[in-house]
Amino acid sequence: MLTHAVSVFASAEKSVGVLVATDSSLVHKISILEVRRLYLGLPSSNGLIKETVVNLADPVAYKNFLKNVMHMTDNGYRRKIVKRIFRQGGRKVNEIQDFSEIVSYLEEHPYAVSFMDEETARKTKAIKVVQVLW
Amino acid sequence: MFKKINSLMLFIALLSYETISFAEINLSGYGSIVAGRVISGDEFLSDYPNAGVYDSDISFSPDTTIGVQLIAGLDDSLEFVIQAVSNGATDYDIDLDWAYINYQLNTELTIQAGRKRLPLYYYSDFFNVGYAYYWIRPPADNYTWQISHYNGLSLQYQPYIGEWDVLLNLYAGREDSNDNKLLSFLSAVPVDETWKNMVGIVAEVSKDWLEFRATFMQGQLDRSVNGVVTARNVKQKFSGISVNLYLYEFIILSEYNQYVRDASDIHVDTRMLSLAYQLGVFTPHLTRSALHQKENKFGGDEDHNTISIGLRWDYNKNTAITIQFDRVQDKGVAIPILDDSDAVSVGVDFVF
Repeated sequence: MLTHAVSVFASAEKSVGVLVATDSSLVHKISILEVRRLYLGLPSSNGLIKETVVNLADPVAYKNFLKNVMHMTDNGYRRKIVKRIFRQGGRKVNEIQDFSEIVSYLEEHPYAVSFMDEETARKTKAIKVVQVLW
Repeated sequence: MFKKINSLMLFIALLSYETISFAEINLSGYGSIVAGRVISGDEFLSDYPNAGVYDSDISFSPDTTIGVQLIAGLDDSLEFVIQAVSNGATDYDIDLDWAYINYQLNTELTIQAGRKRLPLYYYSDFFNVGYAYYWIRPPADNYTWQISHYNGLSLQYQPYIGEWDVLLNLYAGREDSNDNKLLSFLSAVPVDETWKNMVGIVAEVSKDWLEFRATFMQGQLDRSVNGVVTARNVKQKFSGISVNLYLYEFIILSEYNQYVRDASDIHVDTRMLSLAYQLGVFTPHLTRSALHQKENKFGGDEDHNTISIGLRWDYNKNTAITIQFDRVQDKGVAIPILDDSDAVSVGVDFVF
């Protein structure tokens, strides 16, 4: 039991998160700060990325994304996005709760990106890893 | 109420239909359904700009708000933004909070022309969006101004410097308010108010645990009371700072503002300090806010403060339920607002 708990903890510690796009996308690596900016609904100097998708299918990846990229809590992120939408005319950020829908969305939108853990990304056909996020 | 909200939806739908043929349309909205009553005292002025008042009967009107925002992307750089709002305090009349053209000069610089909310206070821009803060309403003592909008130009610069998000906003414009809601309510006669030649700047810097905001505006004021001109080209200045800290589960929000109109010998200070603690989906909070206008040579003074205790429950990702108790102390002698009162209100905030 203890061994199992230790291995789960070690696995969580070693978790690697990546930015992904559909495998035919021309999207290329950008700085983490630019990723953060995009997920706040702000334009990026990398004009190729037009949309971001929040991966709610994997709660652990979402939690790590908030911690390592956005540097804020779930509530804080939501409030920030709502403020951005209604005080600056921002657009809603896409949130998808089903993993296959995320993959489909990326396939249909070559200028969209999402995040997930590296192992899942490697196992999933039709998407490519753009860069490591955490 | 619902007839007028239906009119709002129809208006937005028609607008969408008319523009959909040539523009990318993005629709979003928010709402707060709030009920409350005074449990001690006579009346509680919860929404100064719209003169929303609770009395001893349960009422949904003072704080209930529905808003719909439509963004029409005309091309990659140009978009039209409109936000229509219906407040219970104004008998659910539909007002345009925002209606402007936005042009993106580059990734960090945008220019807007049209109607916008006047960004005096930290929460001025999103005063009606209850989901965006944990109170039922931003602390009433701070948000006491009769003018909430301007028509004009705005320039926004949003770079990031290291791990800091930065927003610089320069704006200029004017607002004419005939039969101004707040002033007419307090004076019991029609008051027309114009704020003109307004020039202002807002600077915000933030990172994961810290937000800092500074604001300054100057302009001129015209006023007529019951058809009699009482002020013309009177200079006024507003300045303020806000510091917000997010320390793990602890949240500390603060705001201090000053308003000066020398010709009328009016000097107003407003301040607010709020503490909250996030317990999962629950956020209990405690706030004290105050407005102090020292007695001037014309005998005018205004002095009131409020202690608020509340709880926000994030019910799901788009909905929050809030309950709040407010205790108002009104110490004004020459200008009492509505005297002392205790009030309780319960609300549901949502976004879509």
